Amino acid sequence: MFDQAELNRLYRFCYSLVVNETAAYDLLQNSLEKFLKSDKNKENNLGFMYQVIRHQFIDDYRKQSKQHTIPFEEQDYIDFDVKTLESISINEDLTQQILEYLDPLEREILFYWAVEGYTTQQIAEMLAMPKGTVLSKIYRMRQRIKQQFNDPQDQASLHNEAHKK
Amino acid sequence: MKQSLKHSVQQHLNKKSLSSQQLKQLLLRQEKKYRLRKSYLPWFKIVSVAPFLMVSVVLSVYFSNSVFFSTQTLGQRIAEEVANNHLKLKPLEVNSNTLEGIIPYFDQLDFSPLSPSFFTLSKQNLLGARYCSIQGVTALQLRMMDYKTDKIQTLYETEYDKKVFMGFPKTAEEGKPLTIYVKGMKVDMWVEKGILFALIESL
Repeated sequence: MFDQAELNRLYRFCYSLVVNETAAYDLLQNSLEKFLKSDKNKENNLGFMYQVIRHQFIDDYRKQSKQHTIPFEEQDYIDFDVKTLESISINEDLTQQILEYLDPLEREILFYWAVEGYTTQQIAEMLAMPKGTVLSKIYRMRQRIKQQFNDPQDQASLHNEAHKK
Repeated sequence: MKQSLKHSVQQHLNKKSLSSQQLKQLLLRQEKKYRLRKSYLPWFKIVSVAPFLMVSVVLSVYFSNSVFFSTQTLGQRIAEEVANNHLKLKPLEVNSNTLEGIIPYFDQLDFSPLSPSFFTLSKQNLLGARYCSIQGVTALQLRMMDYKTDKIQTLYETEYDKKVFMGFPKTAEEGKPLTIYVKGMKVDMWVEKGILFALIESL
């Protein structure tokens, strides 16, 4: 059984996926039902529950939303890490907007990194993706956030960085 | 105010929490499920084991019946065989009123004839003996006369071969006679010290 702290933790994960409080609660409720039905007493219930939520979210939301396609070349390994996200400074008031701007997978990565403190390798394991794919997504997310929300000075540095690449 | 993305996201998401009503609902849902699981688990076990139990019961009933059936058949067969034999009153091969006087003649037997504990052989009623067979197994028959009733009794003895007499009742194997009435005669059969005895007398 999940205690209050764990339920809140799971709720935050749900929120990071759907960026809406009501939808997050619905997602958590549905996932909990599935978890309870599974009759599994796993050693890592919380980890298993993250997977249940993830699959439930895919079932409920991702099918309805437009898939964000990533150009093939960006799938290649890019020498970036989640730490590169740390260099981004944003205006505090923009956090909600950024979350809404990002796609669900990007938000999920952001949640694992910022809230759960996972490494790139751990995030890749949670998402069942190659580490290179996760890194390319982080790189892309960083670009998108900077382009959309940073001031002109940051934009210029981003532009230079892209040229170097 | 500007701050790192990580810190902002962390702070922003950590502000999100379930209301007390939502928490209560989720905790209650879990508790209910676990309580239900605990309460129905023994029933679930019984239900899942039930088919095996039923099959076991059916099989055991079937086999016990078939053993009973075959025992009855075997007992019946022996009873009828010894009854027919008894009625023919074939000539005795040796006449003696003691078992000790009879035994030396029967040197072709694979067993040593015994005086059963269930029935007393006395000098007064033993007439003699002859070779015979029961279900194909060489046997000895002792003929006696009950002078009180003027009725002839025959006691059959043969080696108790479990392969031949498979399915013979356990009680009879332990010396408690199996009684079968056939052709107006009473046949008692029992096993004692590795010998199958059959005693037949007219009613």
